[in-house]
Amino acid sequence: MVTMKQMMQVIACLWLFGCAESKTETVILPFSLSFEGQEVTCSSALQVNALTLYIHDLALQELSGQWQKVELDNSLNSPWQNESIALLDLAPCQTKPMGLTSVAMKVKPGQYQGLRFKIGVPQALNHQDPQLAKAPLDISQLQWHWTVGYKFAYFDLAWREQTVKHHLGSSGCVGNVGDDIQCRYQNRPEITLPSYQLGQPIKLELRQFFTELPHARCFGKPQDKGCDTLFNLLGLQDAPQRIFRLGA
Amino acid sequence: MRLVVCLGLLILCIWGWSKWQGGKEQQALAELGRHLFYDKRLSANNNLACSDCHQQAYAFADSRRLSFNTHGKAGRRNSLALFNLASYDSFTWANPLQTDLSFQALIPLFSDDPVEMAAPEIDLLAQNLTLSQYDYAPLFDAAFGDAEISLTRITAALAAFQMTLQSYNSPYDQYLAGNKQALSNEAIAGMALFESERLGCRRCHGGINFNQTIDAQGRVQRNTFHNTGLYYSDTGYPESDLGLYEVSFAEADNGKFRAPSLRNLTLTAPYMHDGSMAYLAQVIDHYSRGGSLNLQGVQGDGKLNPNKSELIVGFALTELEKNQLIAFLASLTDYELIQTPDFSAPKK
Repeated sequence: MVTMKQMMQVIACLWLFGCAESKTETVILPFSLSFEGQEVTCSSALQVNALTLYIHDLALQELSGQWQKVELDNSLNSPWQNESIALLDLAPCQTKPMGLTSVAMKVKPGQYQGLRFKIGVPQALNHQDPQLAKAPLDISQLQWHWTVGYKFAYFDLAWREQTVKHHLGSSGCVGNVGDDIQCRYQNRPEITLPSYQLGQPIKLELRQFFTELPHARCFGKPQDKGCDTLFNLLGLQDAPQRIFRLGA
Repeated sequence: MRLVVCLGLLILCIWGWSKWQGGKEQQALAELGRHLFYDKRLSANNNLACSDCHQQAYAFADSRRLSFNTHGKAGRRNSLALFNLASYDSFTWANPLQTDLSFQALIPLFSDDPVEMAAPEIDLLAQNLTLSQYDYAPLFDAAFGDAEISLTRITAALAAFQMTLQSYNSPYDQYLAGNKQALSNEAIAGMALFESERLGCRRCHGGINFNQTIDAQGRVQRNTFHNTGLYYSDTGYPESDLGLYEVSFAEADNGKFRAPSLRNLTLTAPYMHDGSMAYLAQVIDHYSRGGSLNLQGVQGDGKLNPNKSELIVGFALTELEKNQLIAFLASLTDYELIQTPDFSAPKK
């Protein structure tokens, strides 16, 4: 026997749910790679052996200048994203990708003039016990066990005779596993793309990674010669980032 | 009154039983860990077990200068010995973040810089273990109550096995326990040298495991890293390995590495983090001089390294004294560790 109270609860639930549904729409944010302006495919001169990124803290800028926090749409139950963090795998033509090529944002309808997001794993999740971590943080390959964190971004590129291998993550850390760990260098670049319009894709222009260093690498150690270029391109030094661009 | 006694006995029984059960579980966990420790199926090419770089015959260290990975490529360090691990606050040569032995196992399993065992993700790893020479279902079942293979279980078992590697039965231990015949006169003279202020060995190799330091406030530090003046090249230390600095990003840590235990020293050659010294006599010459000159062909005098520990000031030693010191260090070797069948590779 259904009581009046239970019926009211069901109606209230439906109403709330319906209302919440109508408040946001899902907008896809696609990512792709370019090299000297050309789209990167498996037959490009640039060879992408691996390229993954964690992104979080997405926000859209309203015309008023206000930033609105954007949640990710987790209704597809993707193993590569939850409502707050997504893992991108942008290497072309993979048989077994380790992440997404686009993320689904839950957006309040309206007009926007900018997009921003952070690369990396938020501090609160970065130093958890990785064996207990939930998707998309449960991938051993992207856990950075020696620094007790994650590889926020992972680049393994080759072009002509040159190679580029980078692992980006927090470094200079102290503390105990499963406890509080503090890092001197957070290394979570914030990428801001002014004049972003809903539906626009994002391109990563990779030519700039190839500098005069024949084998550039930054594996999170102070002596790694490639770190300067990597940090500079991602906007971790004084200048703004130069990798992420808006596509047509 | 009788009721109270009965109840007391019952509680004692339950306590004893649960204690015994807990002990049995711990034993089952370590036994599972022993199988995993000796299993090459934990590596990408099924050719490398933990025990290949941590060999029982060498007190679970590696007799090669550098250890090799699953692809046959040399790494940059000489594997540390594994015994009496409870006496350490952190593990590996220079990483104070590795305070948990289970967690530490993830580095050799999954690291890609340098690549070590290159284990696949856990689903594939679990599949691979079903093809092992060892039958894991009963082992996991005994340790955990069911046969499920998970990463947490694997690393917990590996840690449990490593914690069983106890080594406290050297002639030195027997001597301390009252058997005055256990050490030769030469070794006893060497012990006096070792303990002397003149040589100052104890400053970095304190405690029953020879791996502790007492700091200026008199507190015991179980986690000590020192620059011992091995190198002083243009970059301080050779850039291939800067030790603690790589983790801490504090420049004063350039070239600092762990002060390891001196037990079982005659089994764990070669010495130093990079296996750069083959003989004990070389190690003693190094500390006697207060640093090494052009070690391994790296140009420069480590004695002058500005990061060198102030505790390493050098000392004069006669040939006789040097031999006495070596005789003492040799008395720290516990042959039981390398002969205990419970620590050896399990039968198929």
